[in-house]
Amino acid sequence: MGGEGHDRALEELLRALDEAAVEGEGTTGGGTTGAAGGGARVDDAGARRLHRELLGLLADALEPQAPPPDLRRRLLAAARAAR
Amino acid sequence: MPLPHPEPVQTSDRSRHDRELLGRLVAGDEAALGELYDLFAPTLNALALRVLRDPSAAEEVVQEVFLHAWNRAGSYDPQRSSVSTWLVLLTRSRAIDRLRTRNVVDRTHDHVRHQAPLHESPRGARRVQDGDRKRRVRAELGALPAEQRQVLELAYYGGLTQSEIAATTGIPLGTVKTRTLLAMKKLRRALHDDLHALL
Repeated sequence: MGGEGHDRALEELLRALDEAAVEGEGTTGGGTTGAAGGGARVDDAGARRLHRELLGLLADALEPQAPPPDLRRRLLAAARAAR
Repeated sequence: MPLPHPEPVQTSDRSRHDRELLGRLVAGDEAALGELYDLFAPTLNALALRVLRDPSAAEEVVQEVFLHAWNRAGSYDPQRSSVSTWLVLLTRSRAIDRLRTRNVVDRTHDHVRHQAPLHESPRGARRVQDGDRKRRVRAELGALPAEQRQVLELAYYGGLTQSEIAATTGIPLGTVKTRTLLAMKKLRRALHDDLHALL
């Protein structure tokens, strides 16, 4: 548990971004190849990273919600116990 | 909630600072964990809450994510993502794992369909530094046509695949794919500068 490798929804969003890169500004994100609508792929780790960052940015659209005040204390206690 | 940086700093400086915090976590620095928490907990909690609609479950996810960071900071790969994206996608993944365990996919769809729009008030953690970027992200998401935003939200917050979105909404699969692609093209183009600043 912990990775996103099994996350098909996330992978589909990343693939849509790859395709968008191919259909859009071409290699702006770096290293995109393939024909629009078929076989679009991203060769470059930099382009794929750019797309991961975009999905990370989407959390910025949410209104931040502070967790309960004691969560920080409990977290630090749990971290101390884990070491 | 204390703000670690009283003065606005450049995004690249923030990214560097975040990576330094993870380095301190690897060294067992509890203060660094507290600082990381102060920076990201409100955003991660909002994300978990948005996915799960359950404050207790969201709180558990947030704690799990920070404990993961504490125990596995060495597994973070700066070539793969920024620290903020690493934490956000980890939180999203764990929250969706819980959501699927609860088997509430249909309920999630109802929530997404009926809830308030994403773009709300501009308050938040790191508001001094990140305010402009957050406003841009909200504005760009808010500017998407409703049908494009719907498929994006179902995938991102509901963890639904495109086939599941089609089955849940009755929208043809090809239309779901087209709407997703159109949304991604717009966001990629509109947030281009913000994305590159994170690298």
